[in-house]
Amino acid sequence: MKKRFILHSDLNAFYASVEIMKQPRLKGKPMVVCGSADDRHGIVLAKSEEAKKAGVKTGMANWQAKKLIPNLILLPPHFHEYVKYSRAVREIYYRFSPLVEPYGMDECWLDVSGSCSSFEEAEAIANEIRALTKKELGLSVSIGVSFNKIFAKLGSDMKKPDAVTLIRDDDYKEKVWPLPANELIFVGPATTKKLQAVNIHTIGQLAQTEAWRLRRLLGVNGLQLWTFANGLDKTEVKPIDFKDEIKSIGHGITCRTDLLNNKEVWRVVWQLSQEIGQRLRSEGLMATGVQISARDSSLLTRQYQGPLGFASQSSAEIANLARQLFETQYPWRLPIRSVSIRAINLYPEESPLQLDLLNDYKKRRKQHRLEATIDKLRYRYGDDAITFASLLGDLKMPKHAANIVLMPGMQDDYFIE
Amino acid sequence: MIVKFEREDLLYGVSLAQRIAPSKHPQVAVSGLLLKTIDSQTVEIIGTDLELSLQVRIRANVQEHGQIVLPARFLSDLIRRLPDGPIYLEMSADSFTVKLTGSQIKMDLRGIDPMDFPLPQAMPSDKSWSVPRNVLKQAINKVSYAISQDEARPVMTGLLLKLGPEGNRVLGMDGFRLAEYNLEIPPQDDNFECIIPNSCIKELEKLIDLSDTPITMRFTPNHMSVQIERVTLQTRLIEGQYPFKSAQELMRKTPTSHIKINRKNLIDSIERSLLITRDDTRGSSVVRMEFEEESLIISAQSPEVGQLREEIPVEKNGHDITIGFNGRFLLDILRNLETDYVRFDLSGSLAAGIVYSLGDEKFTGFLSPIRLS
Repeated sequence: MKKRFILHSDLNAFYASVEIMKQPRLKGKPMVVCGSADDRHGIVLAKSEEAKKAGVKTGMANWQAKKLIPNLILLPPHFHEYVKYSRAVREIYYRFSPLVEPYGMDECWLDVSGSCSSFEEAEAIANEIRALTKKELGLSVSIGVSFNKIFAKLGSDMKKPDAVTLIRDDDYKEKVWPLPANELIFVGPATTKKLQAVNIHTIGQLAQTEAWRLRRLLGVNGLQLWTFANGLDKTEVKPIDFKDEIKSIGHGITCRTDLLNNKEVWRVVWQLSQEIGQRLRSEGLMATGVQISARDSSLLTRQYQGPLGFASQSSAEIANLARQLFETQYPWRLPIRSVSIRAINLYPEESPLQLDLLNDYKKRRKQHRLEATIDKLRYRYGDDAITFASLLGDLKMPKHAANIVLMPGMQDDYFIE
Repeated sequence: MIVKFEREDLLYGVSLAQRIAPSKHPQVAVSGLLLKTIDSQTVEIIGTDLELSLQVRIRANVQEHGQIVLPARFLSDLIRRLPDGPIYLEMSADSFTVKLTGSQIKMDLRGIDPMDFPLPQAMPSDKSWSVPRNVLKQAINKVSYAISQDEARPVMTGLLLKLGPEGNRVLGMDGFRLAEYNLEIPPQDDNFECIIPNSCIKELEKLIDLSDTPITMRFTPNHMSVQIERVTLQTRLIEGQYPFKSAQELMRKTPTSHIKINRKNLIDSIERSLLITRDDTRGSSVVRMEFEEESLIISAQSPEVGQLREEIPVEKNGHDITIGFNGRFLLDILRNLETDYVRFDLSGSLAAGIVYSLGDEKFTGFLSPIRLS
C-alpha cells in the first residue's frame, strides 16, 4: 500500500479562544464558557489556558470553578459563532486536501498523501495550516503528522498549543509507545482498568501483547486497539462530501419552572417533538424508536425508550410515543425540571420500508405531508407563523430554542440553552 | 409419600412438564414440578409458568400417598442420566427432603413445600368444542408462524379462534402479515371467539398427532383447557379485542392483478435471492418482484456478492406491477402450504398482497409490502 500522510488538527481551547478573539481584553485572563446559572445550566463547557492551569475542568459546576479562581470570568456560550469559526477553519483545510474528516467541532483529520511524498513535506503543510489559521482567524491549532489516523491524533495532543508533532513510521516506537495506554483513542476508564489488571500500562505494552490475549480480554475491540497501538490502522479519512451517519436526533430543554403534571409535560414534549420532526425531515431520516429523558427537581434523570413499530419522521407520532412512555412509567414523586426527546434507530428515508397491516400507510403519508407543509410555512414566514392551539400559552419553556449539544469527547447530554 | 417408578415413565412425564416450568422464577415453587399421587397406580406431574400449565399422569406404584415439589430442570437432567430400571421416591413426613434411589444411586434431594405450588384453577366447563386432531393440527400449522412475538401488542401474541354459524377459523397476525385458515368442520350454532397464547399453541402443535380422533377444548371466559390422552394443557386466555375478525376486513381495494405461480419454483427463487443479500446490513430480506405479462422477474444485488436476476413463468391477469416483500415472511407462508400453485392478488405496490393456495381454498394470507427504495 502506498505510504500515507495523515494530519490531525486540533483547535486549542476552541470555545474560549473564539471568545477571546471577539473580546481581546480577555486575553491572558482566567475565563470559562459556561451555561447560565440563572437558567439553571451552570456548568463549565470550555476554559482558557489560565483557568485550566488553576485546575478548572470541563463539566464542573460554575460555583466549583469560582471557588478555584475567585476572579474567574464567566461567559455564556455562543454556539452559532463556534459553528461559524469551525466551518471557516475547515475551509482552510480544504485548500490542502479534499479528504477532511471532522471529529467534533474542533478536530479534523486531513489526508495529504496526494500532495506530498515525505514526512518533511507533510510537516511543512502542517506548519502552513498552523500559520494560516492564526493569521486569518486568530485561532491556534496543534497538529499531529503521521502515517495513520490514530497516531496523528496522538501527535496533536503531544505538544500544544500552536505546535506540530511528527510521528514517523521509523520513530513511533520511541515517541508513541512510552505513552500511557489511556491516551489511545477509545481507551476509556473501564478499558484502562482492565488493561492495568493484566499489567498493561503503556501503548507499547499494549502493542507487544499478543493479539489473541487482548481479544480474550476485551473482545473485538481488543483486536482493534492492538491494531491501533502497532500503527496498523488503515481507516481512511472520509472525503469532503461524506456525511457522518447521524445516530439520533435529540432536543431537550430545562424549563423556567418545574413541570407539575402530565399535561404540562405533554405540552413540552409536543413542542420539542415539532423540532425533532423538522430535523428528521430536513436530514432525510426516519426514526424507528423514541427515547424520552426527564430530570426531576432532585436532578435525577429517568430515561424511557420504546419502538415505534414503524419508521417515521412525524412529530405527532414521535410525540405520542414519548407521551405514552412517560405517562405509563414516570412515578410523579417529584416535579420535572428538564425534558429531552430523542428520535433513535434512524434510517435514510429512501431505504426500503416495511409497511404494516394495521397502520394505513397512505393515511400516515398524509400526516407526513401535512407536517412537511408546516415546515415550509415556518421556513418562509418564521417559526411563529403557524403553531398548534394546544401550544399557546405559557409552556414554561425558555424563549430561545433549546439544543442538546454533544460536547467533544463527552458522552452525556447537557441541557443547554 | 413412597412411590416406585419405571425410569421411562418418570422421564416421559418430567420431560413434558419441565418444558413449561421457567428455569428461574422469583417464586421458587414455580420453577419446580409438582408430583402428586392420584391413586395406587397413578402419579400426576404438573409444570406451570403461571399462564400455561401442563399436567401429565404417569404409571407408578404408589405405596404411600403424598405430594412434593422438586426443581424441574434438575430433576429432568438427573433422570435423563439415570440407568434404566426402577426409581424409588420416598419423602420423609416432617421435611421436604426426598430420598431418590435408583439401581446404582442413592440421593437426598431437597424439595419445596407443595403448598407453595400454584395449582391450575379448577375449570367449570362453560363451553366445550370438539375437533378432529388432524384438522386442528393442520390449521395451526398454517397460521402459527404469523403470530406476533411483540409483547407491546399483547392481543396479537396469540391465535384467534373464531367459531360460529358462518364458519370456524383460526387466525394469526403480527402487524406485517396475517394468516387465516378455515377449519373443515360443520359450522357451530353459537358464536364464540378467544385468543389462545402462542406458548400454548406451540405445545399443542407438539402434542397432537395427525389422527382423526377428536379432542375436546373446554373454555371459561378466561381459561382454556384441553386433554390429549394423559396430558392436560390449561392456559389463561389473552384478554382484549383482536384487531380483525377476518382477513376479508383487511381488503381495502379490489385487486388489480391476479398471478398464478408454481409454489416450489417461487420458494427456490426467493431462497436464492436471500442468499445474495443475507450479509447486507440493511434491507437484507427485501425481495424485489416484477410481475410482467408472462413472467415474474426476481432480482437481487449486493455490493459484496454480486447480482442475480431470475425469470419465473407465471399466468397473470391485470396490470404489470413491481412490489417488494420481506422474503422471509413470504417463505413462511409458502413453505407451510401444500398445493403446487399459489395465487397472488395485488392492488398496488404499497398495498398488502393476498396469497391463496390454489386447490386449498381454506387458506388466506396477507402480507404488507416493503416500499422499495
